[in-house]
Amino acid sequence: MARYTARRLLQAIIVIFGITIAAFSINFLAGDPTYVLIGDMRGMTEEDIQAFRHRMGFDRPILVQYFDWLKNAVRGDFGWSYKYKEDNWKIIVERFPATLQLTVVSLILQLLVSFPLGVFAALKRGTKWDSFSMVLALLGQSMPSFWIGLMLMMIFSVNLKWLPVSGRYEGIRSMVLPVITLSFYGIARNTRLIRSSMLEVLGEDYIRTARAKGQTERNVYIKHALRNVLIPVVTMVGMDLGSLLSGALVVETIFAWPGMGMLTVNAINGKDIMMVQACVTLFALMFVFANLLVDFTYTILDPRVRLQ
Amino acid sequence: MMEPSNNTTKSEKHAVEIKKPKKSSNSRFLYDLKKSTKAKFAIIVIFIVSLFAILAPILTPYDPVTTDLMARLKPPVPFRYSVVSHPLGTDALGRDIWARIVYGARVSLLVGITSVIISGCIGVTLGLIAGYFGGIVDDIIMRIADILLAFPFILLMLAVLAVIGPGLGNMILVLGLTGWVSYARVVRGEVLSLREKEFVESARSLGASNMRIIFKHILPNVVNSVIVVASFAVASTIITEATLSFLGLGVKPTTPTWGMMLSEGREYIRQAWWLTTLPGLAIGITVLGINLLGDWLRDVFDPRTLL
Repeated sequence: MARYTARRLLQAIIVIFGITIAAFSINFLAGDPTYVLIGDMRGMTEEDIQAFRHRMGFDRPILVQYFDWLKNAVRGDFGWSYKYKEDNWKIIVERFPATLQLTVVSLILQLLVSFPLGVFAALKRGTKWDSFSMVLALLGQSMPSFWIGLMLMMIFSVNLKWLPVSGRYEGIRSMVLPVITLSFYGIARNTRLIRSSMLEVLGEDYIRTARAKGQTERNVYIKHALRNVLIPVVTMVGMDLGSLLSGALVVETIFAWPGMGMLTVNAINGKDIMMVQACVTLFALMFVFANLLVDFTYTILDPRVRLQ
Repeated sequence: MMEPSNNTTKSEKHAVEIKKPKKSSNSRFLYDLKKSTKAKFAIIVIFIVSLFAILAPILTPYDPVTTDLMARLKPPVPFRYSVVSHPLGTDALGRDIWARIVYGARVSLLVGITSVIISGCIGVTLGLIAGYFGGIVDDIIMRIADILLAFPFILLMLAVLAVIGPGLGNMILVLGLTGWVSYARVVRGEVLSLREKEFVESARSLGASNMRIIFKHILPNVVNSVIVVASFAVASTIITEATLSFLGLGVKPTTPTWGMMLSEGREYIRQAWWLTTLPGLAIGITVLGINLLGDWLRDVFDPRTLL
């Protein structure tokens, strides 16, 4: 167990290191970051540009710049936003709770809907119910989530006027559409995954044994099958977090939800590069930690993992 | 379903010809196709969308970018104020929606297919190498894969595109270079078990080089899985392309794409429902078709998933 933990932690550190390199390199993708930051260079002399480059530290060796950036990042200093005229970290800290709220509620909704639906489809395998839920799931996976968001907005906000069009000012009412939009894809995918893992579990020997020793069907499902279905569900939650964070970028933009997703998209469109670096790093870090957490939960749930 | 041994015997001329079962894999394939509603629907959708892309100029008299301010915001035909000459209506600049949807299919398919080919080639090669050689090579490739997976995908694409600039070529490149992870993982997983099989051992004992074993003996056995992964990848790439265009970082604004149509229609969501509904349906139906094809292929290639 200790060895497994150590190895997994080491892996995570390597990945985090890679992430910081990738996030840092965003600066240099278009060549000299000086020109990207200046944007409009009319009226600037070569000396002005040089002075700006020097002030930003872009004239130093790349490795020095990287370690300098990393050192600051570790202390929570992600530079200054030219757009907001404020400390990047401060803005992110303000926006973070909105994103956390949106993703966590969506994650819960996803599990609450997809788990019963997937188990139900598996138990009714081959019936109309099964095909119906599978078609529904496939449909959900095929519709782009931002389109679902727009359709919901058109129906419930614009035409029926039941819910606010955008923003985060009306409590739960504001959350309804963004959360449904964000969880749509996950519900569809998880229903399929849970159905197939339930089917797999139902085919195992220990289920036959349980039946053979005269357990009621109810007991077989609840005591023997469902517990084992939980294992793939935990992995699924890890994957979900990744797609939810990606989805938050789009959903927050559609519904003007004032979280990190909208912040990132605005930073990208406004070429606010240091803010982009900060957001990319933090998004990726959240994802890495979530997966780490999932892996450790896994070892608790499934002792077989520890032995590998 | 193709028997793994068929491929290897075909490729090895000096090996003994094994008598094939009477029913060839082709006829089995067609038989499955005829039986499955899923597959028929998928093929029809893909066929129609491809027709859109190829025959766009024949299918509509309009140019998808020519504006006509006299005919702005016309609704689709059965609705009030609609005109017969614009069966699916027009957008805020009077551009014909049908023309834009038909031409939009070109971008979706082009981006979907080319970037999947790029990422497929990279992913399969890396997966073969990682799985076959193992050790440190495997470690390095899989860690890079982990790092790529650790980024919310859209975020990565957005950040890169924002800096190198939007455009068709750049988008294909970025999608191609970042999408290889799923192939690499699937292929690696299969190679790990394949490399222990007898046919690999016998090839090795006959003196085959590593390259020959990888490409002649192992590759044909992973093709089925790669096709399945690729078909799902085309579907998700089309959605990603639409999302990027929607967020304003897709191809250039003059090229009609479904994602861009949605992003433009969003501003008229109160007046013109068709601007957001129709392109979205085009994306949804196309992606559904491709997903169904992938689903069906997986069932055919790996009957175990049917259970």
